[in-house]
Amino acid sequence: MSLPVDQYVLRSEKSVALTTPQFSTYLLSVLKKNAQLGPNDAAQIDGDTGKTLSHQQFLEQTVRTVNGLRALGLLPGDAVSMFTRNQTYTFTTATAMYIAGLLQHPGYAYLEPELVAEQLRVIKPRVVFTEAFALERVRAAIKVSRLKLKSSM
Amino acid sequence: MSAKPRIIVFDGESTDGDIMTMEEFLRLGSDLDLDTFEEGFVENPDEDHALIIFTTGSTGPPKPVVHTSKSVHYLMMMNE
Repeated sequence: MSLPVDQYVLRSEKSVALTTPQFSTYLLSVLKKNAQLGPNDAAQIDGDTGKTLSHQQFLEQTVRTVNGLRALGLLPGDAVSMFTRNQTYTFTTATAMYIAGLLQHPGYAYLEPELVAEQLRVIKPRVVFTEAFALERVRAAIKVSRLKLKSSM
Repeated sequence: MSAKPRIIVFDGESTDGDIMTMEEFLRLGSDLDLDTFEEGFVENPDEDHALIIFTTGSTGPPKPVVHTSKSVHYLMMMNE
C-alpha cells in the first residue's frame, strides 16, 4: 500500500513548488517584512554571549553575506559547509545560502576529523565557515579530504 | 581536482592567506541596494539542491541526504 504522502505535504494552499529564484524572493520578503514590522526587535539572542541581532541587522547581515558569497565567485549549485555552534552569524549565513541558491552542508565540528574529511570529500565545498574553536580540526579535515581526493583520481 | 576551499572564521583573526575573517568577508558585500540584489536571483542548475545532511551512521557509514529548496519551503510553510 502506498502512503498518501501528498496530502500531508500539500496541505496548505500556499505550499506551492517554488523555483530557486522564487524561493529567494520569498525568503527576502519575509526578512524585509520582519525588518519593517519591528526593526529594533530582537530576531536572535546568543544564549552564550548575550549578543542580540535585531530584525534590521538580520536583514542587512544576510544581504551582505549573499553579496560576499557572490563576490567570491560562488554560483547557484555550489556547495558551502558550515561548522559552528548556534550564534549570531549562523542563521544569517544559512539564510543567505538559501537565497543565493547554494547547497549548504551544516557539519558537526565535534566529529572525528576523518569523518569530517569524508563528508568534505563527498561535498567538495568551495567555502567553509567555522569558528575559532573548530578551526584547526576543520583545517586538518580539509587536508585529509584533499589527500583522499588526490589518491582516488 | 577541485580547488582548496576558502575558510571564513566567524570569530577569529586572519592568520594566513587561506583564512578570511567574517568582518573581511562582510566588507565584500557592503552594497545593500535590494533592487540590484534581487536581480541576481537565478535558477539553480542542480535540481534545486539546497541542503545536504549526513545520517548519524548508526547502521553503517554516514550517508548524505539531500533536501531541495522545495522541501525546505514546504517545511517553513508547515510551521507558519
